[in-house]
Amino acid sequence: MNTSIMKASIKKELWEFNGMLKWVPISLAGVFIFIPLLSLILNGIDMQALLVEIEQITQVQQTDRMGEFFFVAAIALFSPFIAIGFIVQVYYFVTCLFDERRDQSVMFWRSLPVSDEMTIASKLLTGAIVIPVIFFAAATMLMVLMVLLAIVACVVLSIGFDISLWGMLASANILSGVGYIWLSLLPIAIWLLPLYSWLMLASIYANKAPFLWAVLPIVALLVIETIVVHYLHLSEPFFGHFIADYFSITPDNLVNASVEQEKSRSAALQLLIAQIDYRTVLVSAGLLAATYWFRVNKSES
Amino acid sequence: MMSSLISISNLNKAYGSKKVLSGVNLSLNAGQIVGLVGPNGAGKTTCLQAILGLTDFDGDISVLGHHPRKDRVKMLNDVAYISDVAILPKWLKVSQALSYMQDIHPNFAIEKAQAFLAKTNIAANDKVKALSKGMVAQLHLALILAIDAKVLILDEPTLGLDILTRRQFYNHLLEDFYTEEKCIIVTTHQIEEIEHILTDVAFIQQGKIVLAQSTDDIKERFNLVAVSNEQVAQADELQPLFKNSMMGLTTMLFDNQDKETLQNLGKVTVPSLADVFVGIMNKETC
Repeated sequence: MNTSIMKASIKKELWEFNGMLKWVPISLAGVFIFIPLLSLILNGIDMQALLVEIEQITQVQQTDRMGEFFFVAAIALFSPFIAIGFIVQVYYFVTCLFDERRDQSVMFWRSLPVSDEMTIASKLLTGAIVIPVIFFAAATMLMVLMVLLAIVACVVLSIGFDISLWGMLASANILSGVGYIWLSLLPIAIWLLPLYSWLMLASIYANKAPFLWAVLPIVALLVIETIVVHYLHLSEPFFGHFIADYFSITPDNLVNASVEQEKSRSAALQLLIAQIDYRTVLVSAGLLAATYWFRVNKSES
Repeated sequence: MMSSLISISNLNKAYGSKKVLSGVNLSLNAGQIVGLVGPNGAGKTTCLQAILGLTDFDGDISVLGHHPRKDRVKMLNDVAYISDVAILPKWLKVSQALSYMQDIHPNFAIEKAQAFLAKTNIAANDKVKALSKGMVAQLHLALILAIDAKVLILDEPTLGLDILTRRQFYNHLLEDFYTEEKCIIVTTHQIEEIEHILTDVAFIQQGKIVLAQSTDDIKERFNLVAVSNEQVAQADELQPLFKNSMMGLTTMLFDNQDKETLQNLGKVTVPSLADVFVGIMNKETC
């Protein structure tokens, strides 16, 4: 695969969705910065009470728990970015192959020496990896900003008030906490590959309303299956069970898994990886092959 | 010696039960500018899309030795395409279009495109949605003419443009793209506007090529005669392809008739390609 063409194709996708991919994470980060600031400005700050609280914290700080505490805090900060990023991803996948057919630019793109495999791969990579990277990066930058603020606060507290929070900051294992969150990016992408592939298929197939094409066939399949299962007295619906089982990981599960199994921050990661199996490969391969087939054979004029 | 850049033999295409192309045979050589002319729905666009590998087909097509479907990407390194159905997306910036082309196209010369755009009112920072239809066509032309392609395929490239822009478009095509080593295939409804640049024409009707010849041969082969009313009956015996009566004179188009015989019937002139097209289309539908 030609990497320079792949890079150019991904760059093209970023240009096309530039507004959304730039302003959504910036606005989200803005909300995290300005809401506390606003509440501070509106409510004022009681310095005495704050100092008492901080002193209490320094007295009861249990350095061995700080890592876990920070990890949960980091997940709490990343969660809205991951959630909003996921909505953006879904929007991207549903529109990425539909929009260029709607605005008739597909013929222009296809008259250039870029293969259909390359186009589909670049769109998949953009949606599954590049978009989450953008949102993860925004969350990380926000975290860096907060850590910088914490360092400034530590300096002020230690110089001005003789309160040392350095031990607490050092034991937070910030890098490894954020590192684990970043490590989950690829397993999440692989785990959700069947969903992404399905959305791409809806995007290439639909002549109108790709969102409906993405949702209605699944709903129809589940409803029909439920009726069939009910009338034939079968034990359980196959597709219903399949979908429920495959997507049974929720953000809550992940956080609980990593918090409950105290020493193991990798528990969430392991839970994700365990969910990736032959179903991921088979369903994704089938749906992507169908997407490619439509890209090559669907008449656009 | 002329070399064949595109050869099409027994090209067939159907959408369901509707036959769009049947038994098309064409050969295009270096140096040719071929007009593919036909009424709406005759199969022109389908034919061009088959050549570009954008639709599947039955039969054999070879473009620069490549099969358009199996070898599409390699082929497109040397084939450029402008069509009224291949529209530049509205979100695209001029600078982005140039940068993208440079990244993905081995035969794209960005300086050439920039030099072309410098002569227009199009700025590098402009978005396609901010450009007029004529400017978008100019941008598209700048992108395509900067490709050192051997074959250029134009499908109604000037549709919806005003006459000044249309003229400019074809002037640039000849000045900035055309050389003896290249071949251009163009479809248009305004055949009279590009008649002077065509070396060959292929008339297509209901999916079949009904005439494919050089414009020089066509002008030799067909004659337009202004026949007076008294001689109309005599002229009718020579089976004109087409006749049009107006103000006491009947204009008749003849195919392969002896020039001297025709001169006895009235004033003989060389027909335009539009005249021949109308004549051929009427003959086929009779």
